[in-house]
Order: sequence, then structure tokens, then C-alpha cells
Amino acid sequence: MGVPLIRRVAAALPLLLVISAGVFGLLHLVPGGPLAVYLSNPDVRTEDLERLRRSLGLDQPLWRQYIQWLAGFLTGDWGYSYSDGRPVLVRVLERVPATLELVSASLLLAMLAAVPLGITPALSRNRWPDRIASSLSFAGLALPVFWFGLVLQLVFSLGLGWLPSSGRTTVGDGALVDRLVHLILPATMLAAVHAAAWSRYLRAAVHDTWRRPFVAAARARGVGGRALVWQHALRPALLPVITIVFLDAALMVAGTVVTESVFAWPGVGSLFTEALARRDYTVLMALLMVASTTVITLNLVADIVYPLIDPRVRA
Amino acid sequence: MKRLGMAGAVLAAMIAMAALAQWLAPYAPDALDLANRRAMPSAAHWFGTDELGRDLFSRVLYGARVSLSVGLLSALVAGFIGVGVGAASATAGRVADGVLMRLTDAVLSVPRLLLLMVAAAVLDPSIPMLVLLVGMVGWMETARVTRASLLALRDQEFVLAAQAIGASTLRVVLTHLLPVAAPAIAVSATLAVGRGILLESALSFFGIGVQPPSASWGNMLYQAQTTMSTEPWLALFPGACIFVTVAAVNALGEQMAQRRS
Repeated sequence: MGVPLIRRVAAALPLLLVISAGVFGLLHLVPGGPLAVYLSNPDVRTEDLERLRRSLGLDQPLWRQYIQWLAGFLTGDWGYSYSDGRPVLVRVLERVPATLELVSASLLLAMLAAVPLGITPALSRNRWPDRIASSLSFAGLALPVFWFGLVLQLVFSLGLGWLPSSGRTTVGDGALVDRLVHLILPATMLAAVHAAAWSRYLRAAVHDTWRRPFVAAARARGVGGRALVWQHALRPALLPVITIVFLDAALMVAGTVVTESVFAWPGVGSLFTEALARRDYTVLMALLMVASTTVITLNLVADIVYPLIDPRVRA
Repeated sequence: MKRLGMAGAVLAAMIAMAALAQWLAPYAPDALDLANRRAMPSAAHWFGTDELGRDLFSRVLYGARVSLSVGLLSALVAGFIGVGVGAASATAGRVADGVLMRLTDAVLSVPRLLLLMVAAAVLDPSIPMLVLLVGMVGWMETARVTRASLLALRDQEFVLAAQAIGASTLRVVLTHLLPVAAPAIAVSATLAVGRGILLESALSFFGIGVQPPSASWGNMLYQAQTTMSTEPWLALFPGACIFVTVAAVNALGEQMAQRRS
């Protein structure tokens, strides 16, 4: 366990290095560099531009800028936001709680939806639950997420008026109920695609285990009903899905960009869209690195957790 | 099989509508009708009109051209890169394999949409450029599938026979390996079409993909977003088109995959 783990972590670090160099290069590819927005502005004088360029270190060769950025990034000095001059690290960290709240709610919701959608086929001899579950999960995978969000908004906020259409709290409120009410629509939007994907994996896995001899053996011993489903069919079927949940959690973090934009949720995702609109390169760079690190870390966690929960793959 | 027929029919209909847009569309896509602005769907305007009185049904038909082409062509780009990287990885030796697969891992680790959004914002792409960009974030799955299929086939007798009579590696890959691996590659390329349509629409939804006056389903949604409460039809129809098309493409891919196994 110990040695392969170290090897995996050691493999992840060069990966991050390659990603950071690639993204850094991409961001500095634009003609005129990160200051391109100012080039066309007649109110910005050439000498001011030059001073700005020097103070931001943009007059240095690209590789030196990259080394400087990397050294800073590793020591927690992520530079300053181009749009408001505050430290990037502070701007990112202050958005993290809102995003964590949204992502955890969506993970929970997606799991709560995926398990029944995945196991109904096993519970019922009737073909209809299977067809309905299968169509629902199939539809979920083709859903343009942003459009789904707009439809949710249209129906439940603008139409029925049941739920708020944007924000994390009502101004001046902030009680638990108020926060939960604000969370429902964005969490549903973010959860939909993943619920669909997980239920499909789960359905395939349950179908597979249901036909295994150990299930027949359990049934022959007189195990029936819920115990048969939960203990014998669902448990082994859930194991591979848990890995997928870890991998997808990282995608969910990236998905917050769309969700938070539709519902004006004040998290990391909307920071990304704001930074993009203002060409705030230091913030964009940091966010792409955070997102990639999250993906790689959760991949690692999935690799580590899987042998712990599934003794069959433990060497 | 029934679903394959349905998915195929839906896709064929979509493509036909896009191709025949200039004959099918009741109005020119940018014809203004200021007397009938923000009109609800009716017999005259099936999908209603927008704030300039443009007929939404006509715009959806023309938008289909852009959205479908970006989806199909970007999948083609992704397919070419993916097959190239995968085949090189499987045949060009351990060092090249290591480098290419780590590169694939690296690109897979950056969330696709974010990378694409940054690239589009920085490069301000035209539609052909957009096709390239969407293709460049979508080749990794195809590369992995290609590599795995070629490695599995590499030691089969027909490959050894071809090598024994002096066929070059390139020839073995092109004429002996890829045709056998083609069905698996086709499945991943099909899924890339659906993903390409979704990515284009997401980019355009943020205002950094297809730019007006060109209409795509995504940028129609972008424009419709602000008037959701008063003219919801402007958002409903283009989004429904994306949904139906991607569902059909995915169904096709799934059927292809099932038929293989």
C-alpha cells in the first residue's frame, strides 16, 4: 500500500507542472499579453502602460515570469488580482465556503436520486420502472446544464414563485431555512447530470450482481426482500460507483462555473466567470490550477479508497 | 434496434433541417418585423419572435447549421488527434508512449469547459477556430481507446504475418490495425459529437463562443437569458433542440457500443 501510494503522488506532481506550464503559456499567448485590454483604451498613456508592465513583471522573458509565478504559487503568494488589486489567494478562499456548500448539497442530492433510479430494476419484475429509470438517466446525460437551470428558474421561481431565482441568501436574512431554500434549485441543476450517470452505472452493476451465484445462494438460504437487495446485490454493486463519485466530484467543482453563473451563487465558479470577463489573468491562472489539483487529488483519493472498501483488489 | 432507428431518424431530420434551412425557414433569419416583436408562438411564428421581431423558428433552423457543424467537425478534429496520439503511443516505443499518455492525463486533468472558456476568451475565435479548440479538448478519450485497442491487437497473428512480409509500422497501423479497431473508435467519436455540441452551446451561452450575427443554439440562449421572465419561448426552443440532438447522438453511440459487445 505505502510504496504504490508514494509512486502515485510522485506521478501527480509532474502532471501539475505540465498543466501549469501549459495554462501559463495559453494565458500569455494573447497578443499584447495580459494588458491587452488597456492597449485599446485611449485614456491609458503609453508610459503608464510601461510602468504597469514593469511592476507586474511582464517585461521579463516568459520562462522567468513562469518560474516566478511557480515559486510564488508554491509558497502561497498567488499574486494580486488585476481587477481589484487584492491578493488572489484571499479572493479565492473567500469564495470557497459557498462552493463547498453547493457541491456537498449536490453530491448528496445526486446520490439520493441515483440509488433508487439504479436499483428499481432489481426491485421490480415489472419492466416499466426499468424503462422509466432508464429514460430518465438517459435524458439527464444529454441535458444542456445551463438550459436545465434556466428551465428550473422559469418553472419554480418565475412561474410558481416557490423558490428564489438567485443568490445564497435573502438580503437581511440568512437563517437556515432561507439558506436551504436558496440551495435547492442550484443544487438540483448541478446534481442532475451526475445523478443520471451514477444511476446508469449502478443499474448495470446491480443487473450484473443480481445474476451472480451468491445472490441465488442467499435466496436459497431464505434471504429475501430488502435484505437480499441491500446486503447482497447493492453492496457489491455500490463499490465501483463510489470510485466514480470521487472522480465526478471534481467535475462538479468545474460545473459550478455554469451553475453559479445561472443562479448568481457567490462561489468560486462565479469568481471564474467574473475573472474571465475582466481578463483577470492572475485569478484565472490560480483557479485553473485549483481545479486541476482538485481533479488529480480526487483521482488519487479514489485510487487509495478503492482497495480499502473492496477487499478483492487489495494485493 | 428500435431506439437506433429513432435516434437515427431524429438526427437525420435535424441535419436535413439544417441543410435545407433556406427553403424550410418561413422567414429570413435576420428579417426584422418590428410590428411583431416579442410575439408568442403562433401559427405565423411557430416558435415566436424575439425583441427585434425576428422569427425564432427560422433562427433555430439556421442556428442548427452552426451548432451541428461545430459538433460534427470538432468531433472529426478530436478523432484525428485522438487516433494519431493513440496510434503513436501504441507503436512508437516506450518513451513516446510514456510522454503521450502523461500528456493525455494532463489534458484530462484540466476541466474541459474551463480550459475551453479561457482559450476562447483569450483567442476570441472565429467559428473554424472554435471547431479546432473544441476538438483540441476532446481527443483524450479517443486516444486512450485507440491505444488500448491497438495494444490488444498488436500480437495477433495477422499483424505478425503482415510484419513478417515486411510491412512498415505505418502500413500495419493504417491497413491492418485501425480498420479492426474502427468500431471502438467510432463509439468514442460519436460521443464526442454530442459533447462538442454541448461545449459549443456552453461557450456561446457565456458569450464567448459563436458571435452574433451568426446564430447558434447556444448564443440564442445567451441572448434569451435576460428576457426569461417575459419571453420564455426564446430560451425554451433552442435549448430543447440541443437536448434532443445530444440525446439522439448519445443513443446512437450507445447502440453502437452495445452491438459490439
